[in-house]
Amino acid sequence: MMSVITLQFGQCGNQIGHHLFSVLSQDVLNTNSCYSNESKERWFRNKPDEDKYVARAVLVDTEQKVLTEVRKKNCDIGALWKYDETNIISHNGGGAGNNWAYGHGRKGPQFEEMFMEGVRKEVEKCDRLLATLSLLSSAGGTGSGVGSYLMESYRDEFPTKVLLNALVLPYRSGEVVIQNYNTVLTIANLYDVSDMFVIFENDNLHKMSENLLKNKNTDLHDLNDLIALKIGSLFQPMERSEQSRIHDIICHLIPHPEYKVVTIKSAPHYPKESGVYEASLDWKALVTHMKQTLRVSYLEKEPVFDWETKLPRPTQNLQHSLMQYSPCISNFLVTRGKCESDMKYSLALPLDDNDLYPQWIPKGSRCLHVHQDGRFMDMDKFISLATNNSLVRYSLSNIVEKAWKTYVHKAHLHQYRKFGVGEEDFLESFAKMESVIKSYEELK
Amino acid sequence: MSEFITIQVGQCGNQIGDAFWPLVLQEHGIDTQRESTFKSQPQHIQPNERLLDAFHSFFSSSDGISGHSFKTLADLEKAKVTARAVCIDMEDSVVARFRTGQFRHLFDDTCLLTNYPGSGNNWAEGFHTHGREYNEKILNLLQRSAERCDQLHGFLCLFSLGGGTGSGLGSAILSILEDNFPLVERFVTCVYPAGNEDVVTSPYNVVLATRELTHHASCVFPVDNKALLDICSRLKSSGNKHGVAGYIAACKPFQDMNSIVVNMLLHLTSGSRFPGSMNVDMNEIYNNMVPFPCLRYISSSVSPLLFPTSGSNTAPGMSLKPDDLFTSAWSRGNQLLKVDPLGGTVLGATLLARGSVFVSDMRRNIDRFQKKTQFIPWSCSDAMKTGLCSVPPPGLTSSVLSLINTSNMSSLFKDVAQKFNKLYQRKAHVHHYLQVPGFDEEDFTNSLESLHEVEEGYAQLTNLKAQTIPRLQVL
Repeated sequence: MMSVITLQFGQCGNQIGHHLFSVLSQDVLNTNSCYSNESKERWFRNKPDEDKYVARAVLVDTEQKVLTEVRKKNCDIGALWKYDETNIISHNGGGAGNNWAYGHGRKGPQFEEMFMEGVRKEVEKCDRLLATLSLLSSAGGTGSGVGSYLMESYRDEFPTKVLLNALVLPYRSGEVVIQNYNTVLTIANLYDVSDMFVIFENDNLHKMSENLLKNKNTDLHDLNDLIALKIGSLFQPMERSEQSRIHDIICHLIPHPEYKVVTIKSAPHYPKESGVYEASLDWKALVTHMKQTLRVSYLEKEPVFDWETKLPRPTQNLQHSLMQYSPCISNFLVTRGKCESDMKYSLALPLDDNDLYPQWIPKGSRCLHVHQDGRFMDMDKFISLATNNSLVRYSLSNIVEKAWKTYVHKAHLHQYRKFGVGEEDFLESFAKMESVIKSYEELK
Repeated sequence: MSEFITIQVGQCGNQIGDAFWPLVLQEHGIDTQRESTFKSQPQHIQPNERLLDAFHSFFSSSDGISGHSFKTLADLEKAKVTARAVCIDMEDSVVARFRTGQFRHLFDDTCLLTNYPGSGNNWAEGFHTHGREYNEKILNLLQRSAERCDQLHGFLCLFSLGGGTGSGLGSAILSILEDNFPLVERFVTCVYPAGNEDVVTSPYNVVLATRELTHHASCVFPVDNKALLDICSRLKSSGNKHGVAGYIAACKPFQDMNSIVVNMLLHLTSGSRFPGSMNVDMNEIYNNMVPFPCLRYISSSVSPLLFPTSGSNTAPGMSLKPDDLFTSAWSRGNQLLKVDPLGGTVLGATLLARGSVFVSDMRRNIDRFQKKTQFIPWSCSDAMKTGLCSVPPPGLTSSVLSLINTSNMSSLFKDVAQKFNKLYQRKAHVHHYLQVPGFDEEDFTNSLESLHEVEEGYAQLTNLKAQTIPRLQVL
């Protein structure tokens, strides 16, 4: 049996982690889903003498408030799962102050021993380790700085294990003043450590919550729920198990080490109280909708509209001459829910089209489709598309642009210098980011 | 959860402290029974778990705090609870209240330091004479307080800059803190004189102390008496529309002014003390708000300005809409300092909300703020930090704190320099300073220079032209 270990860093990572395990437990614990045994083993361990499933997770935070809440929830009698108390690691020394350098240079080393101890213990408890999934945001100091440091330690000890990073990019403005510095340093430093980045953008999630889920008072837990759904839909077990091994997902999605940034598009999302949209949609419409999310404007070749924040429409013809798509390296389509078997094999065809890929990508390695008849989160149909495509450069470039602007004015550099991150380190990180952006830009 | 040590120096600092502790206790649902101000029987806020968890932020006990539930001062006395405070005055008048007043059990001799005579409104006297004489004693007090902490995150320093003790000894303590606790934040809330006080030498004291603040504090939240007075009289004249105004009418102006400052501090530290969906730790403030080392002066305001006391409990009209709370928090008239926070260039802004404020409310108000404001060119209007704390102040459903680092801060220093020069041109009272051992005539000129540097630093940013250096090219 194969398992995934989840690493949760910082406030954001720990909040998402809790949502993720809640989604997973809701999906498979106490249900008769056809994949529940495989899934339980993947994310949880369960000793016969224990009343609750135990998440295969290691939690790290520099301050105790979030983890204190986690511990309290751990004691909920009704809950089906809990964290292993000994894997909840926090220090008394205070937070990382939104400063990547402080987190990476000072706080990270303080956690290293306890963290690696927890990880080793978890690895030993797996029959076979499929992958390690880390959850963090890039804006603050703990997830980004301490997280980066600890993942480097992880990589040193487990050089061949698969390491995935689910990275939450902050709102474009208004979360943390120095968020762009922290994001640049995080991605640049992790790029060679990590096997794949799954990027989530708060702005995009916020819009989805407002437009699709009709949450007038959108709060962070709404965004975290979306993230949890997306991660869950990609990594829950699938039918043809030789392709659903996480290792194979990554092999397919990341054919080249320069292109490691993946986003997950998903549908349908609708308000909890209404199931109207769900019923009216067929698989084809959903696949078409997924394809829409890759569109760019014809002239500027820029993203015109975030299609993921729109409702999927019943099947329509996409053969419009002015439709342009952002060039993709690879796509991985997951469909969950009942589907007639003759349809299964043709569903992903629109995502194999020539207009989605640079010429040099051979047909066979464009879009991989896997299916699961079992319902995900008790939904009739759920579709998700993990895509490695050029659109991501706009988000990255936007962040680098802002960070660079601050950098040339030398603002806030003194706080990083204090903890050993000097101008050269910044330049190195900028260079790494620019090279990633350029690679994606050159896809045609 | 984070712990803070409050350092109150001089008469003004201790008066703010005098307002601080009852309000802290009230926030934790402890009945302080100040009959004079309460007309009705105070209604208890049910101390819930979160309040208790946060209790040790400001209090310690040799018996341990966890597991207790405190309701009255007697409970605290029984559990040997003491305040994490260091109260220093070179006169005995105010600190005596801590020794003998109703809170005497919270302050033992290990945290009180007094002396006679005072500093004679002379910064040099406070900084050099007392600073040297009491250096070891003060360090001892600090270390003893720090030893009682598990997670000391910050010192909250309270003093005025106009007099001798607060300004002189207060600023001397900053270096002691920096040398001995380099990683613990030093937040200074200091009172700039309004100009009509009876202290002739206050312009000297202000300039001399400001140099110390510029170099040794993490963040400075200047407060000025004139701004506070104006706020108080405005609140008063707004009539008895709600219970808060009624409360104000019932007590003395200084107490209100101090309460405003205290509410700001309580809100400022709330993110460190209580849980929330977007926590803001105190050490994040400095990293977000101070783009260059010297520019660490931050204009603050909290909305609503006065929290209702437990006597007036939930006053009608206090459950303002989120947008109104935000607007009033960043409005000019509500700043605790006479400065127009949005008129200049904003170097950094922090909005912290407590209580029932959603992320969507926050997003909407970030947009509103960005439309009103000119940000420093490098930031692309993004120099904002936000936080959400889930525990509201007692008696309120929500409140908002705004912190703004603005280029307009230069006006404060310009004003201070002018007053200084007026006096210094005539060399008035200079000899009082020169006769203090350790003080040198150069201290005047150096301090003035340092003041100019800060003023210039801010002024330059007002009209900063954005530099455009092309991004790195990948070959």
